[in-house]
Amino acid sequence: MKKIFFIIMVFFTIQLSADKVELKYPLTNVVETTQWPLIMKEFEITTKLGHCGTGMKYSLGLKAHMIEFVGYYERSDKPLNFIFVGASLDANPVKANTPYESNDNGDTPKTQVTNSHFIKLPLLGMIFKKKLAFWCLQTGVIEIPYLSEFDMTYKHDYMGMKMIPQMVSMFSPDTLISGVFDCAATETAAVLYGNTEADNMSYNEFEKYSNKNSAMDKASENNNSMSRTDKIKHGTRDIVNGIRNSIYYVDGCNGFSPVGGYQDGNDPIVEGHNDFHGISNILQGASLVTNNEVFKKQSNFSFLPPQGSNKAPSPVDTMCRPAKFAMPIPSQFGLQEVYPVIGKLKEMGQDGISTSTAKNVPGSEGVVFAVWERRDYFAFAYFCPN
Amino acid sequence: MIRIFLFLNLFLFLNANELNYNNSLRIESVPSPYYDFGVCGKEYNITEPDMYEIIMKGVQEYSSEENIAKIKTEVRKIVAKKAVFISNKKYCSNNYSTEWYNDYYKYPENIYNPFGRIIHKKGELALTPSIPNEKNLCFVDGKNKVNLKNQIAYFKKITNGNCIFSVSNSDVRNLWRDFPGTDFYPGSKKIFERFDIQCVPSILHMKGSKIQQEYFSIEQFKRGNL
Repeated sequence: MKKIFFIIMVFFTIQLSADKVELKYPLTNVVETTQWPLIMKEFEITTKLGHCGTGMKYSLGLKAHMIEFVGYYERSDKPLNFIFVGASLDANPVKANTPYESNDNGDTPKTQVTNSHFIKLPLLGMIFKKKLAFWCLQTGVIEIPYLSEFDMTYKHDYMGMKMIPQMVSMFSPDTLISGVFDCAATETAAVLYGNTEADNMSYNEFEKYSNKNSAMDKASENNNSMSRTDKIKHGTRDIVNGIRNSIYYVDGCNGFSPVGGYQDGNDPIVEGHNDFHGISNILQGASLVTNNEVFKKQSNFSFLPPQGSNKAPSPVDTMCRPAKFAMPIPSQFGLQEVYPVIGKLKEMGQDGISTSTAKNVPGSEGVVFAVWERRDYFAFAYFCPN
Repeated sequence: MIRIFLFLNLFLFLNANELNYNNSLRIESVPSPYYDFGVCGKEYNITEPDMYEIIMKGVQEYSSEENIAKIKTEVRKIVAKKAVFISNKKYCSNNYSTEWYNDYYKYPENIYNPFGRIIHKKGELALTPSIPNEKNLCFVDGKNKVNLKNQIAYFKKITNGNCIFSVSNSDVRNLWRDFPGTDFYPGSKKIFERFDIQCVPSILHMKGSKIQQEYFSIEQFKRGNL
């Protein structure tokens, strides 16, 4: 009798938890799925002066920091299935069932490669164009710069080695040890950016969070306590971001940046993060796969100082305009899960051990993340990319 | 000039309001050490709409059913365009192959180690990582459908199916359907350049760190010649 009662209880529990889930495609419900308050939360402007241009184009500006939503990154087992908008292009399923390239011993890994897409959709810039010129938002039209179905390096890692060998050359025991520092730096950055609260939240919780007043209040609270502590916080953030970007071949706590799309299939959320790190490398123009770089360097950071030196070399200065930088820049991006459940922004490489496995929704078509991109710039003087 | 004017305005505003504490402030900030001088004159309610509300309204409108339908159509168009690589690469006129030679890769940018030292300079050549087993990359052209099918069948036969296909001038989605279990990808100009492919149809053989190009006359793939 007890057993029957237990089974009934389990059945109803599953039913109830299933009822709570609303599988809405992210773009059809873009207000609720996207963590819009972030744009207010992370926007900062200081009184530090800077200038851009020379001669007639000379202009003065104030040092500022912002974050904006630039598009979706998604993974699906079904090829050409665009979950972000709910469009399945009915590709031949045979393509999906082709196993991942076998390893050198002839063994075929237990799982199959999934399909990844990056959809460039800078919504705010597309909608408001020049109305929010102060922010210098990215504009344009919808683009799909990366489709793994059409990228031979994704499923065949030897082609990745031929097209992106610089990442492979970094694989060594020494560099693996440096991954520990990268993981620690990533977690610290998450604390400093305030991205360590619960991984996921329900719609109600999100509505509460996205309430504009609470976002404003939060910003106001931050400002009132703007003090020496904040200064230290900003300084520490710059240091940890320098570490993260210096160890560019490691994806924080998720291990090496992947060359190719193979993942072991244990946790689609964590694997999605790791996969995006590899794809961001391609989108930065490090590979010959894409014709043009989609992401450019637009954040301010320094590499670690060389041994015996106190001065950290700074890569190309991008306070006035973005520049090509053919390596992943983990501190410049954040991923926010928007399907099948809505999550909060996470730093790239954050939380290797995640609770997300338990929250994967049975029956979902895959995973979709909103991609957020940061920028450090001189407001009023920056040469907007568009 | 306008930028300088805007900047000066803002700078004066900041100083006038004594917001310059700790050299830093946020856009919606309320200064903590402020002075209340009271109210002088008539007060007016703010009539401008809230910026956040404007943003959210615009975003909400973007996800209307009509717009979503447009985006779906746009996605289909983008995929259809990306599935075909249009190429004017010349056809090979006779069969020949190169010697096996070391495959060097040219670094596209400076590569740094974690301590900021440049470990590979832009333009530097490096030997690519070694591949234990032989792999093949087959370049086929689909301007003529019969030719294309012959090229695919022949290349699969001579490589024992150990070939991934880089396809020009044909929609790879159709090939996924017609040749299940075979990998087809749209070609690219950069892949041609990377492996120095002179003409099509051809095969790039890869083993260890060496590569070899093998070219095939297009004539042998024409109807009835194979």
